[in-house]
Amino acid sequence: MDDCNLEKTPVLEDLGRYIEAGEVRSAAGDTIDAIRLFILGGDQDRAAQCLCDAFWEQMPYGTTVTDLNAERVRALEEVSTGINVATPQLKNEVCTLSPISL
Amino acid sequence: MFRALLAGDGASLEVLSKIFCGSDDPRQGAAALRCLDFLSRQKQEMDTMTFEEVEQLQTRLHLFGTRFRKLSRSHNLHTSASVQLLFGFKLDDTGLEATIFPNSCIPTLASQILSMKRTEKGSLVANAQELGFWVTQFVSRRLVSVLYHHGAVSLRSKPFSGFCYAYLEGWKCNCESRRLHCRKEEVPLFYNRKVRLYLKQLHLLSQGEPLNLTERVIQRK
Repeated sequence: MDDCNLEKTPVLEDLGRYIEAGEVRSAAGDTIDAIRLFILGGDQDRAAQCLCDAFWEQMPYGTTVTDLNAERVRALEEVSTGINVATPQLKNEVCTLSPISL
Repeated sequence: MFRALLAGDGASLEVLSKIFCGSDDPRQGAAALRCLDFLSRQKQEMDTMTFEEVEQLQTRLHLFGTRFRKLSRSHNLHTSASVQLLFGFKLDDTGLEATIFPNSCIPTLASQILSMKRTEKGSLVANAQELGFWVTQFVSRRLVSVLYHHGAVSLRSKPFSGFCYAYLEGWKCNCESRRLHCRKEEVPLFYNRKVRLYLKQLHLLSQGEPLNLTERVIQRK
């Protein structure tokens, strides 16, 4: 992602085009801001999808929370509280503590 | 799932693993494997377990066995979306090289087997097919290790051993026997439950092997 696109995001945010700004942030690897923007734009499922991908990147098979990823995992946990997911699959993957049967 | 993993909440992960196993979606498949692997690493005190608890453990391990065996016999494992998500890597557009995510366990576990190079951007890249072979080998080893350990622990555990009725019948004041205590009239009932455990154990160790010979041969190719 070139810097030019990333520089557009404040403008997009000012215009209220949060989802487009979120996509730009997501492509640039700025997941936390991307999730916040998706939530602001009202696309809860896209926010949850982004959150799931970020969790998988931080905690794939055979890994635990270490000094290297602790801060990022904490940030993801914080941002996950603002998501209200309708899709049960995504909810089970990240957000809920009590599993929902499909 | 991730919250339960972070909290070490085995009970939630057990429920979630069953839900995820019921879906064909690659994301759910990866999540099922992640849950089942976490559960397989939990320490089991089989000596103090009841028949019901052992049965529950067997059900969970059977799920683990069938899922991991199926994965270990898949062709072109590196192309599977589920495996990429689970192990933390992504194939490039040509499908020949795999970019490994920084938090993946691959660099740690496969550093001596797999040749990896660092790109100018700092990300690790490996040959996709070699990585697929490594994953296959790793999954097979993990499966054998978990089932072997379970088998060994089961042989020493109370629910799989013989019965002792001398204590509850009052023939002995104290009994330090490691066997399961029961009354004489309960022996047939306990025996039936033990047979059921043994049968379930066979089912578990078969790892969901297809009954049909042709299907078995196809899977092993």
